[in-house]
Amino acid sequence: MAVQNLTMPFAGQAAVPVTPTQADLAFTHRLAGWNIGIAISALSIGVTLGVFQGLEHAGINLYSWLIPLNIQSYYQGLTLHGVLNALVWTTFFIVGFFTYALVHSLNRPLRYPQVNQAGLIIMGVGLLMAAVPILLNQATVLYTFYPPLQAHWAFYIGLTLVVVGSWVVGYGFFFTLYAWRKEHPGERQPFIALTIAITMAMWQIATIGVAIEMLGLLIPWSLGLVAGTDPLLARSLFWFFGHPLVYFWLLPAYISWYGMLPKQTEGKMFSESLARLAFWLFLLLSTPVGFHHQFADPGIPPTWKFIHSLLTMGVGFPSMLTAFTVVASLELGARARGGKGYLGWVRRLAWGDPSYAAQNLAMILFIFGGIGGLINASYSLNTTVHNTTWIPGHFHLTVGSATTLTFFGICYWLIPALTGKKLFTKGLALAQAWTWFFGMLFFSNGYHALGIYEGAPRRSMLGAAPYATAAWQPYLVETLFGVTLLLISAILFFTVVIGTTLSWRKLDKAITMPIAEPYDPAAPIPTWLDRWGPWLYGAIFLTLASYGPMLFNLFYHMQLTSPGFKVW
Amino acid sequence: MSDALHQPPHQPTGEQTPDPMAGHEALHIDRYESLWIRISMTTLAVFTVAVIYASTAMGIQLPGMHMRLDPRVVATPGMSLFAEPKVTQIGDGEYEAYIRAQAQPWIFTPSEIHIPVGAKLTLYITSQDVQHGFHIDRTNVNVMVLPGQVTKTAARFDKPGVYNFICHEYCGIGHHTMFGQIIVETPEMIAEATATAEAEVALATGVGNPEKGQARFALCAGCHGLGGEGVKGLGKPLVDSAFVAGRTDAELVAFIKQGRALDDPANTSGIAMPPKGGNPALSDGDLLDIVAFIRTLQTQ
Repeated sequence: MAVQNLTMPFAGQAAVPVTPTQADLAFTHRLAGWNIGIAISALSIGVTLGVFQGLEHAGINLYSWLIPLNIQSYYQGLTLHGVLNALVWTTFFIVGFFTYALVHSLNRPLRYPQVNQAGLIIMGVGLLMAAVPILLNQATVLYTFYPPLQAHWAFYIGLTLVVVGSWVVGYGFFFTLYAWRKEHPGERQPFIALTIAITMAMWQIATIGVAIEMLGLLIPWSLGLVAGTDPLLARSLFWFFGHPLVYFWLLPAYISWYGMLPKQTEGKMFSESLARLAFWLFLLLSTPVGFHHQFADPGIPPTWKFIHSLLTMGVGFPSMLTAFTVVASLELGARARGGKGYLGWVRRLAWGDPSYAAQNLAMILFIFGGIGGLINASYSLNTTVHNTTWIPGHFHLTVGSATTLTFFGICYWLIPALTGKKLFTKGLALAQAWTWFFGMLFFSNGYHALGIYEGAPRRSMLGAAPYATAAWQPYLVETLFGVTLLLISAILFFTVVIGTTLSWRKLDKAITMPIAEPYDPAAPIPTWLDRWGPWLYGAIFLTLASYGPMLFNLFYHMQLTSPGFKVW
Repeated sequence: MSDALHQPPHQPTGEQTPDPMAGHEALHIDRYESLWIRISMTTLAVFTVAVIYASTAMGIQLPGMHMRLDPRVVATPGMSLFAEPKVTQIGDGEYEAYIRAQAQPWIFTPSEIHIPVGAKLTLYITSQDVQHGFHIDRTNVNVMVLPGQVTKTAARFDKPGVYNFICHEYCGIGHHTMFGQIIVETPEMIAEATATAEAEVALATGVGNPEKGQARFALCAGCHGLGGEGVKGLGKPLVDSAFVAGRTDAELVAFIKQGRALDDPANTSGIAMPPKGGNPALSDGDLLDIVAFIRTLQTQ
């Protein structure tokens, strides 16, 4: 083996490898199940509100139906839609999926299961704390919670606890991977476990921004301990976190596409070295790009915006690597299944398997999401799309499709694996994947077009906007058509989830996690792709270099002059 | 790529195993993959060059550091450039405007800016309360408006017409009603506007058209309901309203023009009514039509 001296620090002190017992696995599966259950419950409320928004935009205002549920306005519904879908569904699902996948990838129990359990409890308490003020219309500040809109303090503390809980879960993962490395000196870290740890490390760096915003600015201000806040500083800290948040949503999907999906279509991971390189590059480049969300802001020098725009082009690179490696891995599978020709092999992919089909469709939508993302991040093009409906059109292709549809696909093997029940049913799940695909295609096409041609503003109650014109109508009808398909798809998804969970049809044989094998197991993997130091320090250095001077400046000139407003 | 995929490049055959140290640090890259990497890098490099070209040679400017101020006194006369609506000519064909964004009621001050065709308009924009956005229709002006900061931006208007400027950042329950207009006028239009203004004064003493008014009422319906039945928590019912019955048309037009601020002691709804219901483009004649429509809702 060419990798003997990889883990020199541990040489000579190897611990006895620990493998999970039935009780360990049961515990892990319970933890994962709770996380995923909370995630799916949140999503069920979040998507329902999305349907109301789509109808409102097309001129059908049904918000009076929601008043008995104490949802009093479009914007309170929109806050729920954003918080539940973009923050709760994603974070809880990712934590649950990672807990399961880490243990099965390492074939080692969690090193400190209580730590992971504590993380889940903290996240759950935080979620409840944040949910109460939103439901009482005391936190109608949308999921970006830009001050000086001022929510009830429980909203800020609740969201902070969700983040802190996810940190604790991350520590649980790091301890487990560390223990595995001690027990396996000289072996390289399994791909899935390594990339989970990279994602959580990126998350640790990213969330520092929002943690400072919450603890330093918003919580003392909402408690009345300080009279004012600095909106620009708060925005900058938010977007320090906001862009890597996007990668926190995306990387779990990438882990499935690289590390699991090839197996599901009888393929192999084409180039494990480049797959690992892509993840290290995400760790390096996810954070120092946040000012591309603030191109339109006053008070940030154009030079910094420009530097971040260029770095964003850099973070496009690992996604383009992914496009090649993943497609090549899937092609290997299609050819093994008898696929022929330059493109004819596509038909031989495992389209009949809903878990596979959903994730492949998610990838196709992500192509458009990625192209749109490069436009958004371009210093010069952003002014044509900033804060128009183009933006939600874009992120419904990324977090709403690449991430969410992939997670649906994962659910179609993970929920049977967790419950021991047969999927209810393959046909319904396939229909779910395809309706989501076409629904998002129409929805986001309408939103992109309405934004770039008509300049319609995002997150506005467009059906009641005095400046809306007849020219908007065709696009809004198109989005409504998409929303209708998405509603059908969502109903199918919840039917499959509930049906599988309650089903009496037990699996004939247990489902195990699909793990893609490397195509070329003998290919040497350079040691620098298995070493944490250079990448982690590199990420910290780049973040400090790209954010340090401007954040120092903003803190140095901080003006806590904005009192809070509750104008909803 | 099909040929390359048939055989793994490194068959684990024992004797061909490379020297452990050779290739130890080198990254093995497949031929097609290497081609793809070069394509990717070239694409991203072309994008980068395009962005640099656009922002230098084509002169696309983003807002930067301009000025900071205390948002608490932005609306206070004598303490701020933004207290009074201000549009001034600063040179030949050059104008500047100071715009103040405000929530509850959700308005820009000034909400209507008249400039002649071909003029260059420099804008200084700030907020007196929460974050707002500012996007002028059919232009590249698309900026954020933050309390405590002044956003400086500019545009040239070569075509006559009405350009909406719209708030595009969520700023509270009335966000979607927040907009204003830049009216770019030809000399003939300026003359005509004067004549129309006189006609509207005459109209205001006349009687409105309830059918036209019903069409205009769509805006009011956001808060008052489509049939004027009112919406709980937003607008009061206008059907059989004692308030309506007790006032003349001219008084009602004057009331709608002014709106009802939240701190008005007569405000019993708990929410502000913005001037002209949030649509600064409504003329006195339009308002009179709306009043005529509201009169049809009075059955007693």
